[in-house]
Amino acid sequence: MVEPGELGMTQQGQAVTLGAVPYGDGGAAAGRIGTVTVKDARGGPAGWSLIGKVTDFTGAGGLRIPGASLSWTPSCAAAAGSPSVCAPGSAGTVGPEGAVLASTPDAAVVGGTFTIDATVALQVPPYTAPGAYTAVLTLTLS
Amino acid sequence: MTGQDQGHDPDPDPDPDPVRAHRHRHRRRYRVRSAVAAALVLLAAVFLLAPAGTAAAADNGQWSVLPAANNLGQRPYFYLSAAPGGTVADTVTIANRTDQPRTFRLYAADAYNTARDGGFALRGPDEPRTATGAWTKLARERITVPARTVVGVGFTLTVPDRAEPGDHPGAVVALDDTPEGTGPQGIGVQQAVAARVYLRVAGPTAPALAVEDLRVTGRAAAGAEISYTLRNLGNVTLRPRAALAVTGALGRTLRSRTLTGLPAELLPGQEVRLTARWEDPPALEWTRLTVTAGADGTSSRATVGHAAHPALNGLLAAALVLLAAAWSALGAASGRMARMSDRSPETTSPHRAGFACFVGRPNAGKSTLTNALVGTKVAITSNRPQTTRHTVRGIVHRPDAQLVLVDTPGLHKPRTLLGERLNDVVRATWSEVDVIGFCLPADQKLGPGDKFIVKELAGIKKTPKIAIITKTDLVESKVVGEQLIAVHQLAEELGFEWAEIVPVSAVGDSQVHLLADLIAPMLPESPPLYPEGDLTDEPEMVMVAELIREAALEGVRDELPHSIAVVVEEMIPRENRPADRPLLDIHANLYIERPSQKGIIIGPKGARLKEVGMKSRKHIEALLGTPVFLDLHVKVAKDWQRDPKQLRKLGF
Repeated sequence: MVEPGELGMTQQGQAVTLGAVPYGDGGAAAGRIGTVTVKDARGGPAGWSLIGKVTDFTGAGGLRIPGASLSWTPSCAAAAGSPSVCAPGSAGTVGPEGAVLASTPDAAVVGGTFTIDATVALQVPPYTAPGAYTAVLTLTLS
Repeated sequence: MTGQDQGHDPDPDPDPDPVRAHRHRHRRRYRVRSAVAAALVLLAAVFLLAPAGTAAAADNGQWSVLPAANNLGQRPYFYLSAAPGGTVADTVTIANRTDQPRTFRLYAADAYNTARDGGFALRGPDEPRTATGAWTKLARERITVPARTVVGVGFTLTVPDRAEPGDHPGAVVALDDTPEGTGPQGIGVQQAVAARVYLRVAGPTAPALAVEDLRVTGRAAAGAEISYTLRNLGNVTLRPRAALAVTGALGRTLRSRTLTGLPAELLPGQEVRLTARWEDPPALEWTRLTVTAGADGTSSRATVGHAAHPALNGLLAAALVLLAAAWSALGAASGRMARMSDRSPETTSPHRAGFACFVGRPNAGKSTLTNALVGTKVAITSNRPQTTRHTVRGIVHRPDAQLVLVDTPGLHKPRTLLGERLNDVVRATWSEVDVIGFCLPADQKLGPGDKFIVKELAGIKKTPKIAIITKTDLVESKVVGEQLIAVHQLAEELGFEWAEIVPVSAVGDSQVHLLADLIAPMLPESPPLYPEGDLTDEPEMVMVAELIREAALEGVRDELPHSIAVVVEEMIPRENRPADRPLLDIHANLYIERPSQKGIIIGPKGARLKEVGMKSRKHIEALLGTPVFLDLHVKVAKDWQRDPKQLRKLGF
């Protein structure tokens, strides 16, 4: 007898630190998200999707960098023996409307353990006021 | 703290390399700032800080959200169905697998497709909720789950009486909105786990898929990229498939393959922009690319021409017509639209000319559509219904056809004699034209007035009838799809079929040209009926009266429903003016129904009437191309709407 299990995720470390960008030049502030592990033990025919969406970056005095300035390049690997094939989302803008980090399709037999990474880059316009800018990235597994 | 700071700790060992040492000093400075709150630090420096590596382990924990098992066993998602007005109850289970109690924000969300990959995504807790997200009431909005415990939370989903039939996907989401640590480092991460809710509201279903905006970028050696938009116009979730066909100059198929990367599910009203590589475009040929997409019960395609050589591109620029987005409302309509899209642009057909009229309830967008087609302000538009009292004709001049548009007065239930006369004008117009376009605004439900008109149209047998969904810019594409379906069904009930069903946005110009393309072949073969350059045959005085009437109606929101008529008594050039500074005297009377309306029209200290005069004068001067002196008087024609003698005097 094999009991169906659950769909869940864990992530190593929550916050993402981005590199600094020189004031006059602008450019890409790079970083990477902590590795996310998705475990799908439901045993059903249903795949899952992991979506990320990011708020605007806010700095001191209400200064903003749009969330659409953040882009990522996801990657995804399935642990050996996982029935499902993991597809990373396409590289591109994350933004407040969100983008796919990774997903698995529906299939007759699904499940497995998947490790997901992404490098991120925030495109900072030249002469953006110096200071710290923060945003919130929400990862939703469904 | 998440341990993220470890990545930025300066190396305690002194570094002999001055550059690295310099960097370390700045890293130390950054460390100080980060203690305050910071994240991305924009230093006025000329080097970058090394990005942080993966953080040290700070387990975020693990939780899951699942439908409670029912008598059918464990369910991966909620599959719920309800009739409009019905309620379903269910339970979601939240499992905390960690050694710590965890607190979650619980909410119901509507689902959508991400723009790029078409992934199944959920609206955030603070975004507007419209369907399943709004209809679901959870027993708790916040819950603390003890360590290593599973809890169940009940919810009810109440479908409103007037909910649209079809699929309304969503989810129940448990969001951990209080990330651990003292503060976010650059990007704070929140996690949410959701159990999808596939809700089907009982009623007619209509699958409808469209391929739009097909483009090719790049060429030959490097390989080209094909991009296209897939849009779900129907009311059910689709599992789309798509194929690409490439045909050469003589119609022979060069290549045909299945396209991959399509979303598993394209939700109702959603669209996704997809790209595909075209590895080996021919180096020296004119080709046509067709993307055909299908899902259960619906299909659509779009075609685009592609010249391999840049010079060829330039030469054929005129012929390089992007062959229209193939709108597919329904299977039948889709086939027809696809054929229209297939029409070869280089075909030379005989010249056609004829009349078309737009009908529809008041404010259906008829005048706006006429203006968009003709390209100049001809018919009079305002936000108020029944502004078009006269049969203003707009003329569309095309190389292949001349389309004379007869913009008819608004139809409404005959409340007054005036209303009856208007309807007579409409019916007389219908029997004389070559094409009738029935306008239905996308932002309003198909109502009794629309049904009344379509019923009348059903009686006009020989004239082709086109259904035009107007104002599509005002609503989401899902609503447009629903309107397409509704108007198709209405005709079916009345025993006829629309020659075409076309969504347009005259304001945004979208699809207006496609509409002209569709109407042109329905006109009889004929030389042009009017000389080129003519945009209207209305006498100038009537146009001027309409411009004044429009200005007078604007801004009078509810006080004066339809109770204004304008008669231009005289238009005479002022005598003794220098030849280079002519002036046209226009004497006009503005008739109202009751003395009590006088105050509204004239306004405090005559301010409103002055404004009406100024506004309309500007428009009249633009129309006639000469400076104008406008003499405007307000007169009361008591109950003139019911008096046939008055009506004749006013030109009806």
